[in-house]
Amino acid sequence: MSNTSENPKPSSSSAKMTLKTSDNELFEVEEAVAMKFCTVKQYFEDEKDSDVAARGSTTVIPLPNVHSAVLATLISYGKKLPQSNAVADNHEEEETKKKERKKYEQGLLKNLMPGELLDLISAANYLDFKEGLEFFNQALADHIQNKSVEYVRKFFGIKNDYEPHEEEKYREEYAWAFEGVDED
Amino acid sequence: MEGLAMLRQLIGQLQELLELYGSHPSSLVLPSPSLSPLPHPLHLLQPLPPPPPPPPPLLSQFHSHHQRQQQQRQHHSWCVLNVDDGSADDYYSLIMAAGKSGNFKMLEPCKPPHAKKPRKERTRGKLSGTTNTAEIMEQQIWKDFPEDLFEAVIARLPIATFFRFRSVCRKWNSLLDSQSFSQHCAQVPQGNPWFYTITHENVNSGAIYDPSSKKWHHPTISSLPNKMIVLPVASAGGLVCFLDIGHRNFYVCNPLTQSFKELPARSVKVWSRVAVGMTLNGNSTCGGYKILWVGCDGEFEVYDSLKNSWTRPGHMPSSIKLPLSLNFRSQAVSIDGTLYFMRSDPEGIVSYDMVNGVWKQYIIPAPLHLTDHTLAECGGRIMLVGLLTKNAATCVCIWELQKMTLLWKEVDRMPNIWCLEFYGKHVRMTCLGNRGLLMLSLRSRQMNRLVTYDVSNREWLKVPGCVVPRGRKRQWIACGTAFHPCLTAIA
Repeated sequence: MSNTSENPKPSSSSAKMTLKTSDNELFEVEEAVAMKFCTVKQYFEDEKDSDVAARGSTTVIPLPNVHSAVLATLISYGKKLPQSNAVADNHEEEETKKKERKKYEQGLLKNLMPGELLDLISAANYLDFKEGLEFFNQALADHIQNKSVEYVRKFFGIKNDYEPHEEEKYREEYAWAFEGVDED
Repeated sequence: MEGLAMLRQLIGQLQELLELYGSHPSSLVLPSPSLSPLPHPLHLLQPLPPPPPPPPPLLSQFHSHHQRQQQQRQHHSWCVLNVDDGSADDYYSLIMAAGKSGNFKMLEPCKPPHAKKPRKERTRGKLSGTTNTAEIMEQQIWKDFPEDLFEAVIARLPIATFFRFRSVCRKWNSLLDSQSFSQHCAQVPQGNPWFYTITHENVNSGAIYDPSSKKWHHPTISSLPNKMIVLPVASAGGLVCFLDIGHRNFYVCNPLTQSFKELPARSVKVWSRVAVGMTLNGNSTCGGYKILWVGCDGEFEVYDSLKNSWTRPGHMPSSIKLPLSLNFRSQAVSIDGTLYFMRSDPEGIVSYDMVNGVWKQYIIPAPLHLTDHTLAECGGRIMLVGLLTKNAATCVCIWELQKMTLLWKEVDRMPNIWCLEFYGKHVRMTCLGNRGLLMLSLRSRQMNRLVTYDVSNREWLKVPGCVVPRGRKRQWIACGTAFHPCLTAIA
């Protein structure tokens, strides 16, 4: 749960929004977290403009491109991020939170099922969830960083459009970049 | 002993030359002992046959030398030597080393030291234990990975990996020219700097150290002038600024790509030694960069990359005592658009605000018994690193500048066990990189140590020796500068 309930500002941190996934599940999310999904934020602000009565509490925001399992993970990740309207922590609290977040991130990646990472990246992209997208893109980059060129081609289904002699020359001349590559 | 004899010989030669040419006392031109007929040096840099279909851009940067045997001939060049106080030993040692080796060896292409063994990749037919059905299943799904997200992912790969993946397909190779890719790269938080160094054995080309992978890379930069010795003096935004050994011409290049520029000539008559600093206008090279040189007489000029010209924006204020005894062994430090240089007599720092064009001076007493000191920087804090020698014991110390009192406060020392190695020896230290992660070269007659020091977590690490591909001998690093590897920085 967000620890922003001490915040004296009326707008909010305890305000909740409801998000509806592609499989018709409803998620109640604190506004502070939901606002990190810029697509949601945009929708919410458009709604405000069209003068809906209660702020967020009765509006259900549809997310037809996001499955519930994926949204659950993204929300959970969003909660762990430093909240923009949180009371400023002292240095020690900040360090503890950082460590917790790191631990959470490592656990998240370890338990990732095949295919989940792709869904998470696609969803984060659709939701325009900047921090989530950075994190999961980095996870993908980390996965392929020691792989061979052939692995990457197979992985993404990319066709090699180099001539064999071109490729051979390139590998010779950039030999230093080809050291320490994982076996496929 | 051999070194001493060589030095005597060199001095003899120099004396001869002085008499012969009656050159200006502050500069010497040393002609090469003999100019054997050579293929034009540029020829050696071209991609090797058969090149007729013009090679795709990714091949022309690094050059393989199948005709290596023929190419390792006597290859001499003119070296301009500035016999200046304190700096002389560096230059002498460089020239001596070049003379010692008898030739400026053509740098061999970057092959791993065990090039004779088949590369790991060639054994990729075997399945490793980690491949399992789950992974294979996973691979099917990724074929649908959205195109527009590739750039964001690739921008997050380590540099070496990116160079490898340029050969995945032409599209990935062309990312280097993509604006959007450049923006993605700019958003990735910068890690440790790399170090561009010049070794005694190969004064014509650099050896680059990557502290994250603890590996030395030996690429050849074709665009740096081949006939002259150029030294890295400053860097910003992934670009390195070089000055030729005669202090005449500046060059800027991105050590990782072909991007290179020779700066227009400066408007000076006497090529005396200068201190150099470099800053970015914005947060990437797209916004342009500035380079400042300043001499001991208080003369200075600023180069603006957007205008591609040098200007003299005013004069040094009279409050700054001239001559500026600049510490040329120390590189400048750049914090928030201001450059800081070390001076002595009086001891302290002079700073130049590149944005507003303002010079300031800070009088700061130097620690006692200090030698080979150099400025450094970490997270906006100004640091000093140097050798402290008392009796026969030498130690590497780190100080931080206390802004309120303008005094240096010792904050760390090299572990005692390492310092014991220097006991009783005459040690010289050169700083090869002074931002955040410092790289230090410690030399005595028989010893050649490289270490890095991480200022923020106070960690001392040993650096593996720099060995050229197919070589065994550790190279002696003459000088260097730290730079943040940036694939898209343009000179």
